[in-house]
Amino acid sequence: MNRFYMTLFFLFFLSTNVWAINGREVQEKVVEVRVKALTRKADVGMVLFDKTGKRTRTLNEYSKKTGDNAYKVLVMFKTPPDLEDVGFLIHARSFSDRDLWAYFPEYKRIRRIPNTSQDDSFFGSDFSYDDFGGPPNIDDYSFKIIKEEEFDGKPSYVLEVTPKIRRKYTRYIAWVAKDLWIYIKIEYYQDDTLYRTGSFKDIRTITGIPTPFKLEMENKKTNHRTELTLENIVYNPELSDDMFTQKTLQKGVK
Amino acid sequence: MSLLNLLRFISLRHMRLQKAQTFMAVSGICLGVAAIVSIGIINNSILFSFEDSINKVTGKAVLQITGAQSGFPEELLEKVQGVTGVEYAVPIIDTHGILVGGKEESLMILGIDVLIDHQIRSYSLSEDNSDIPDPLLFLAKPDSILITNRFAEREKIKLEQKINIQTVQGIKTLKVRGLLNPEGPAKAMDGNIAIMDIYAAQMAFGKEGRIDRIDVSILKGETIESVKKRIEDALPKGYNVDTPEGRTKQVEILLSTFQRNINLISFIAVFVGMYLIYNAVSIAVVHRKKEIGILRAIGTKRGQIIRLFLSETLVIAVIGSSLGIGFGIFLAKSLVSVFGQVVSEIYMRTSVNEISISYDHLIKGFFAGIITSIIAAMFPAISSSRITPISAIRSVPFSEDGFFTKKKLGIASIFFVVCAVCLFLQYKLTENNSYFHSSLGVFVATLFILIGLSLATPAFLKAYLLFFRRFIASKMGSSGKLAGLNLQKNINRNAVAAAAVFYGISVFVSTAGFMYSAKMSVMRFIDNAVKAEILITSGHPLATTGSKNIPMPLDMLKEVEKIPGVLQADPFRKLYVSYNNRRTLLLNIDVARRLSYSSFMVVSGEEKNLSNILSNKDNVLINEGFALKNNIKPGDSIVLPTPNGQVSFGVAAIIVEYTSDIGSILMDIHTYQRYWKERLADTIAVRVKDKKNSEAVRKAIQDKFGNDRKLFVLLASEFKKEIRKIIDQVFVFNYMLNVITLTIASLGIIVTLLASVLERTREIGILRAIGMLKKQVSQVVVLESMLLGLAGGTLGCVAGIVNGWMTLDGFYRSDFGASAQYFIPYASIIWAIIISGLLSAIAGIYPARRAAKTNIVEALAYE
Amino acid sequence: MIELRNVSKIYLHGSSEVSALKDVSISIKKGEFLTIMGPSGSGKSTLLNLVGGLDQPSIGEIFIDDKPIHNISDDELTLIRRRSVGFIFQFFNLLPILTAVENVSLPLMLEGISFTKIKPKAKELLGKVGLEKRSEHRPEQLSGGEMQRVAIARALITNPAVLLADEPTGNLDSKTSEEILSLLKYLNGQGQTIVMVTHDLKASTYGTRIIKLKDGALSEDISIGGNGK
Repeated sequence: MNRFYMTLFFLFFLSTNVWAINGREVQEKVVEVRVKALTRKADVGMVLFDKTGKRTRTLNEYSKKTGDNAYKVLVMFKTPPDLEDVGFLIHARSFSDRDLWAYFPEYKRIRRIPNTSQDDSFFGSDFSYDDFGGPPNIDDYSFKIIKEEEFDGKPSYVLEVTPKIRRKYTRYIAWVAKDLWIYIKIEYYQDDTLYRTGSFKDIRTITGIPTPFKLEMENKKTNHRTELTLENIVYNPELSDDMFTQKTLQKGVK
Repeated sequence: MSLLNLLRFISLRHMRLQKAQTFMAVSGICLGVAAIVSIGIINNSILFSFEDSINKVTGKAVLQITGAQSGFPEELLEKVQGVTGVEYAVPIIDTHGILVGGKEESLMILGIDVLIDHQIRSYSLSEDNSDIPDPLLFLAKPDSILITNRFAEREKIKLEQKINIQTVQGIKTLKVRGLLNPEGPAKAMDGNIAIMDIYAAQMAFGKEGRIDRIDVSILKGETIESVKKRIEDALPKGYNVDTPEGRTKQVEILLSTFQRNINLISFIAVFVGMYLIYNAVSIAVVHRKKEIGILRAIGTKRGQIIRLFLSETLVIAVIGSSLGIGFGIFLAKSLVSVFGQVVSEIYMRTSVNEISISYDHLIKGFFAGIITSIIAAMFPAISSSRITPISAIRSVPFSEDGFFTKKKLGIASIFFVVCAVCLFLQYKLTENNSYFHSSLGVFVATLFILIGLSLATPAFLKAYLLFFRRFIASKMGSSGKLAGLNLQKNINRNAVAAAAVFYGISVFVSTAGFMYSAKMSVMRFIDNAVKAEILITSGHPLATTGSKNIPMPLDMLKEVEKIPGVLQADPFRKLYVSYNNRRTLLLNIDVARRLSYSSFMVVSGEEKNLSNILSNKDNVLINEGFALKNNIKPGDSIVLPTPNGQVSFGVAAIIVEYTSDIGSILMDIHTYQRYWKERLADTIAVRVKDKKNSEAVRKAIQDKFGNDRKLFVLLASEFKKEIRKIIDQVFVFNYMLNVITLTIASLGIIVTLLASVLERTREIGILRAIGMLKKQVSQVVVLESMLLGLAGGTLGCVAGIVNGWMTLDGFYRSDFGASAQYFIPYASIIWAIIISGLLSAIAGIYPARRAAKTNIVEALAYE
Repeated sequence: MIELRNVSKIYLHGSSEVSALKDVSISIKKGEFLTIMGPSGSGKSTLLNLVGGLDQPSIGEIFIDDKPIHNISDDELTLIRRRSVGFIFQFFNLLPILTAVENVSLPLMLEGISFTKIKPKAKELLGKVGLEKRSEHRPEQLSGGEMQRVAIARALITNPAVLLADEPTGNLDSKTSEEILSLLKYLNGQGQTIVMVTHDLKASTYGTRIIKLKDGALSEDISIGGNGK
């Protein structure tokens, strides 16, 4: 074997075994952390920025793991007065199958929100329905590590995520902080166009769970921006199953 | 070949030389073709715009479920969603409101389930390219409304601005929470469309728990027919499951009267064109009599002469028709919005600004122009071949040969009149057979009457002149005597001039006749139906299809009755129901109260005791149009869809009722409330205690309700005036046409008389030679002209009366019913006769001058 | 070659019958220059119209080259006018919208022959009648005599069996009349059969035979010799 073949062999070895972990395994780690964080309650401040200015909302979020891949989420708006008592309820039977209801007090009416629009904006925020609750179903996507780099002072895997069936976003690029196994930045692409970007900052570890306290999502197309600030996070509180019913949605959390 | 030679060397030169005549003929055809083409295009464009709007509003839905107009329970939605093969079934509130302030624009308001509707329509609601700053707020607040960018721009409305919209619940203040980009439904109706969430719309329009329509898309692999069938089976009876195309068809049916009306105009326009061609060719034949004689003498066959004139006409027709197509497109472009407005005001909201050209209409117009020209030229062309060579070449100026023999003319005349009568009888006797029972048949009949009577002009003229000479001429001195004598000398040729007037006047009188009759019938009905002094409506007082009307709650009645001076307030609710897949107007009134002061105009069936028969009972009255279209007699029963399913109603009587041109059913309002569960009124008719106080009471009503809702409080007299205005609007195109026909007729008279004077140069020379004064010559010519005009005018009036009656029967009876009585339009007839005499006299002035200037020596030496 | 046997023509004038011709029998030979004379109303024009196929006899038979021209259809009669006879009228009867050469070409144009093909022959004929330089003029630009020459050329273009002239000089001055009559005599000299109606005694001297009519009946038949066969 001459040097040339030696080099070739070395390069081949490098290209296949350069990372000890593959893309799917990275995502599996991320899901593991997310599942740990599924039962929690938090007060959320939401600020929407658009060309006319900003709107502020506050809401309470409750979520509970109810099975292996199953969970329930209840979101209740507190302010502004126009949105007081507006609520959302999610029943996820699995990471890919869930029901979503909304309650509008002025109509005294619960409305089902159809499944198909989960990529869509969550009512004017730049977050989508998918950004609330549990992680996406891992089998619906393929994952590939495209590089490793330091982001925001944290060494990260850069993951390319492609939905197996074409969806609104045809590709994501996610920065996963090594060791923490959470997303710290995500870019959503529609074909080759950058559509929105999300960043997850002020990461603190609460009850052993790394938690970003400041989430920001920006829509590059409309120049809308939404900031979420988390407060009073409690992991694994006592939350009864009765809390996640349409009745509570209607009556409010006592 | 020989024909080409003749065309090239003779016809084309004549066309160049006789510019005025050629122009008249070309413009005649051009006008006729332009009328067909433009009306065709306008018709098409209006329909297309409806279809387009329906399509835009329909989106992906392939089936639409509708019930009674007042909507149906929303529980049905789940039933439909559960039907196999249904992909999405989405609820719709389809209503409208009027923007208060600004231009008072009428808006189509669609209430949709914004969370799922994008599956059917593309609104770009949750997409990022529309300007909806806070979708959550839009959903959470019932006062939310989305309007289109275009509408916002037009009305200068800003985002987050509050707007006032007139709705069933009075004036509602809504907040614009988003602007829609022109996409999907937002492109329809020229942007006059607003979108609300379905539940907000239910609240705003008093339709809680109800929906107007369900739009359905189907799964791949399913056929529309099978899913339609399954849905029909799943629903209670009385619901319509139809494709959007079916809805377009309904619009077509709705607009059929309007279209018939404007089609009639195009028929008449073609006819006027035909007349011009006939006139032009007749004059050419008279004018070129000598030439024809020479051609015959040197060996031109009769057939060649006929073909020569026909191909001359063909050349002119091709030019005229081609120009007509261009002019027609131009006319359509400039008139389409006017027509659209009329349609919007009378029938249905639409905004047509673009024309959609269909090549069908262009081709149809082109060939109609050519064929009718050839037909019109046929008679004079045939008569031209009767010119004997001798008469022409020997310069015998006034021989009575030529044209048709009197006997043949008489036979032809009688033939056409008999044909017309047969056609009309056939029309009358086959009322239920649509194949024979067509307006085209009636049109042909009226045409035959015109042709038949015009062929009788010589005979009529002869009798008329005999009468004139015996009874009138003797009192008019030498000019009068001479005029009569002169005209008698060449009856046939003078008949051409008289026929010119005849056509113009007959069209004038017939149009005037059926317009007058339609108006009289409607006014008589209104006088009978409207006994109240004051009418309260919330929309256009005459919106026959409720296009701009917002109903008022019935509770208002009591409020109105509390106002001092008010004797009684009666409700009137109109809405559409579907009977035999046709939109039919359902009118609801308080029968007992109505009968207490005014009876119905019963045509057949029960007349007495109607109060008992109808009040809160399952019996109805129907109008003649409805009876005729559906072949229903008193005693029959009809099944109507109600929100509670199909209900059978007995038909107590057929009455005169002109509220709508699509057929109407009259029901007691209590019966209506029982089945429709709705307490609304479109109009409140107020009777006052003392008529003198009407104005004061009106003001009181206005003051009391004017703040809460936008109301039209009209005195009955104003209302009737409005009706007259509307009728005039419907007929405005006919009026325009009248002016055109009369202008053309007088043009015809001038040209004809001029030709006749030129022909008679020699004779006039003789008269001058034997000592007639110039003044006398011109007096004679003007007098002759007037005599001819009066003769034509008188005969034209006769034909006009007959044709007006037939037109009324053929085109309007199915809408107005048999009671649409024909009223002879005396005023118009008097005008027609005055106009025909006057115009003809004026038309005679120029020829008279020419005649007076005739050089005696030259005239006598004239070949 | 032209044979009239017991020809009568009766016109209806209102309700009374007027006999324009009464039992006239004439035989005209090829090459003759026959002049028909008589006072107004004697029936001479009627006779000419009958021979020319402009009119049909009420009673009797007429033959041209042994072919009957009575009791035939209008189209057949038209073809006789077009092909077998040439007409010259008192008022020329040219089409004012056509030029001289087009007027001359007209009879052949009726046969469907294109003008470009006829034009040389028409020009030649115009030359023959002395109008080669006026061929592109319209009738209104021509004098009476010139118009009549054009009419003669038009009558000759179909090589008719007989040339019929109805008062050809009636509208011309005496000098021009002489020129036209000389032209006719010249044509007769070339073998053209001519039948001419006139009331001008002087004109009659150009012919080879004179027939006089009185009240519709033949009163005299004088042969002046010449080339009648």
